Amino acid sequence: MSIGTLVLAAILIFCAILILAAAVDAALNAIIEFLEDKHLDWMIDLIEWLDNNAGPWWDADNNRFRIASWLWDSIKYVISQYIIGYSVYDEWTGKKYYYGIVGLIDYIADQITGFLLKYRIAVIDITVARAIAAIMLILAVIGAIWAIRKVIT
Amino acid sequence: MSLGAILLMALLAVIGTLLLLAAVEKFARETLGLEDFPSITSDMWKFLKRIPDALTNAVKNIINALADFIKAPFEAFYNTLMSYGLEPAFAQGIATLIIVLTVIGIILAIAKWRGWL
Repeated sequence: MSIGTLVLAAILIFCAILILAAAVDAALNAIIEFLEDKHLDWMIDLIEWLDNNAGPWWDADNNRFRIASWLWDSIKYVISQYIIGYSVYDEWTGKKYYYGIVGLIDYIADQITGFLLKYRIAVIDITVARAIAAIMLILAVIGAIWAIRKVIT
Repeated sequence: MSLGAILLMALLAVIGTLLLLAAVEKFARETLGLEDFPSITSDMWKFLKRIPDALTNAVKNIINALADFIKAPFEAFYNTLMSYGLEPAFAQGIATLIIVLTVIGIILAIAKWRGWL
């Protein structure tokens, strides 16, 4: 089985799970709305308990299940942090950390820029500088003489 | 497989995935009536957009570093001449002359090599 088929299968399974979770949400929310209308004491207690104790799969503001959104948030976190990724500089350790595809791109760019920064000529010795300046002046004089001769002839 | 073919396949895969997610989202919201279905397409697009953004940023950084790398010896030369008491304008003039001569030399060398001269 090729990688493309596997990825496609994973996306389809993930979509099916999300649809299923959204359907479960819709069903549970319909039940909750129905029971809320009956003003049952145990139902009020249950919602209060869920508001105080339930995890991110419960919307405490609207008294609704949000299993599909919670599932998608979790998957989003994994995709964002570990697949797409990022790079971050840690001031405490003085190191840069790279994660995922964006991290790889940043790592390659940092390696190239680091190499260029490391091997650039930042200082020239005065003797070399004088020699270069002298050669430049001689070349300029030769160039000027050549140009004058060209114009005359 | 060539690099162009791989890039084209990656682009098609991204477009295909986004279209598939959009179709699933539309199906879940409109056909099945699941109003709370999460907005998977726009979220995925936001994630995928970070890759070209990172590439653009990387290319920009490399171009800047390359420019600094090429500029560095001339700057170093200028600074050295300046630090040993040469007039800034004269030091700048010599450094500029070197840059101009180097660029002309490179152009002439390429022209000779390609047989244009």
